[in-house]
Amino acid sequence: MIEGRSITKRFGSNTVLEDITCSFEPGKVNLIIGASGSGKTVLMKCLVGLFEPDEGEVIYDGQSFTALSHKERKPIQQEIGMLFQGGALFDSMTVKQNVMFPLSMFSKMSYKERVDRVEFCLNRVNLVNVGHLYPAEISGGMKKRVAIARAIANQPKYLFCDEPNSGLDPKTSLVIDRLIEEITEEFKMTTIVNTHDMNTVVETGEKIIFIYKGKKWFEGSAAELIKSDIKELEEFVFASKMMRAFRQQAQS
Amino acid sequence: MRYIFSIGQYWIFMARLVQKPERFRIYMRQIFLEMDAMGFGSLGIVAVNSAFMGAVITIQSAYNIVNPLVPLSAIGIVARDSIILEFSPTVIMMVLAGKIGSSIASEIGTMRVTEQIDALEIMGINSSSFLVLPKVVAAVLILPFIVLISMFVGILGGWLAGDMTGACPSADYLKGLQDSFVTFNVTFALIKTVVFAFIITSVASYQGYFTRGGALEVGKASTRAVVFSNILILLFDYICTQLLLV
Repeated sequence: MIEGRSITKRFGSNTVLEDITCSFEPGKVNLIIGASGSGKTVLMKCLVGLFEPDEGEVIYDGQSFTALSHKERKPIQQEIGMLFQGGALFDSMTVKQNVMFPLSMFSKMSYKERVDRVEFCLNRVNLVNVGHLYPAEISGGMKKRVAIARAIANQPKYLFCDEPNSGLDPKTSLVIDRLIEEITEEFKMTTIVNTHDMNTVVETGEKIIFIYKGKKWFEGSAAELIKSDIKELEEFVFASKMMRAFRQQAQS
Repeated sequence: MRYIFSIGQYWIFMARLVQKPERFRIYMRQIFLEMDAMGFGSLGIVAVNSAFMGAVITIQSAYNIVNPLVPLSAIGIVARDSIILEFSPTVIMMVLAGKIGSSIASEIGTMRVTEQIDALEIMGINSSSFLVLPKVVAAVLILPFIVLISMFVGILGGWLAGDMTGACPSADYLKGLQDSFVTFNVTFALIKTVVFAFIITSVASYQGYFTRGGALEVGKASTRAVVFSNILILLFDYICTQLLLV
């Protein structure tokens, strides 16, 4: 289980996260939702160690990640896979080399085993015959899928996804959502997804944390979210007609 | 104050380079790829610059030697020493600061703004060492050879220009090249090249690595990399000359 305890993060005099305590359940898709600029990405970057919290700590399976040195963090980091907003694929490498990269760096597999694993991961995200292409030669949705394949290549325990649907059409977004849900179940990972896409909330959210202006306002299940009467949460989640109609339907 | 902060940040960045590589084999492959890109990739521009530089030095030297008591072989001496001591190690390295430095800063800067460096960090890879160390090692190893080639092409360019224009006949030029030749000058030039190679790659990498923002900032980082590299090359040219020649 991943936990954040009283996390506070400041950039200069600007407090971006304030006293956030949250936990993410293993084997489930955990969502962090909130408007743009609410601090979701900063929270995620604190959880994975890209930002150091000014106060509070991050706990991985009972072990304080924050208290560890960079060197001591490596074993935990090697169990983390992350899907970045833009994919963050290495431009100078082909799709196949991108997926193979974490295996080449950290696994003791032979070349053939690595090739097989790459094939498996690319097939798992429904990508065939693209291994020889460079990231610049594939579409946005394919880039996200390659990034997922790279993230799962080393069989991580934890998967972090920063706005996996940004810049994608609704149909492709749904494909990515389902893929994240399926691989979470299949590989028994703890998945944390940062999103402001309400379709994702409806489709995949098993546990949801709502961040508003750097503070946590809600933590609970999708069913609890729909019933919630927190004004800020309502304004965010049910901003669209479609979501209001969905709530009415769910309540009736 | 900002400059003092930057100097401190630069040295902390450099200290992170010398940590144990995650996979030595992959670092070695990167070094060879970088040597290929920096070395063979720069041969064209180095050869053209060196040939014309040598030609101009020879013709200008001939133009300036008006005293009939000064032998024409002096043109060969001037061309040789100018090229070996200054033009090949300093001017060519300044040209390479523009070519290699801007390329490194924009490559690493783009990786920073597109979160590729974050992706490396999350995997548990020392991103600064992985991205920068192979470039520094490759430059320090390959650029002395490039400068040696530059010296050869420069002297050859001077010879051809002198002979073709009649400014300095071949026999005089070749006599000048062999006259009172100091081998330490070549050693001195190579020592300077190693220092400048380190400056170009480390400064450009530093500028790229700490880029914040988007495409505009990547462009600015690239420009800063070239400007600071050139200033530092000139400063260390003076320091090396003072320490090794005087």
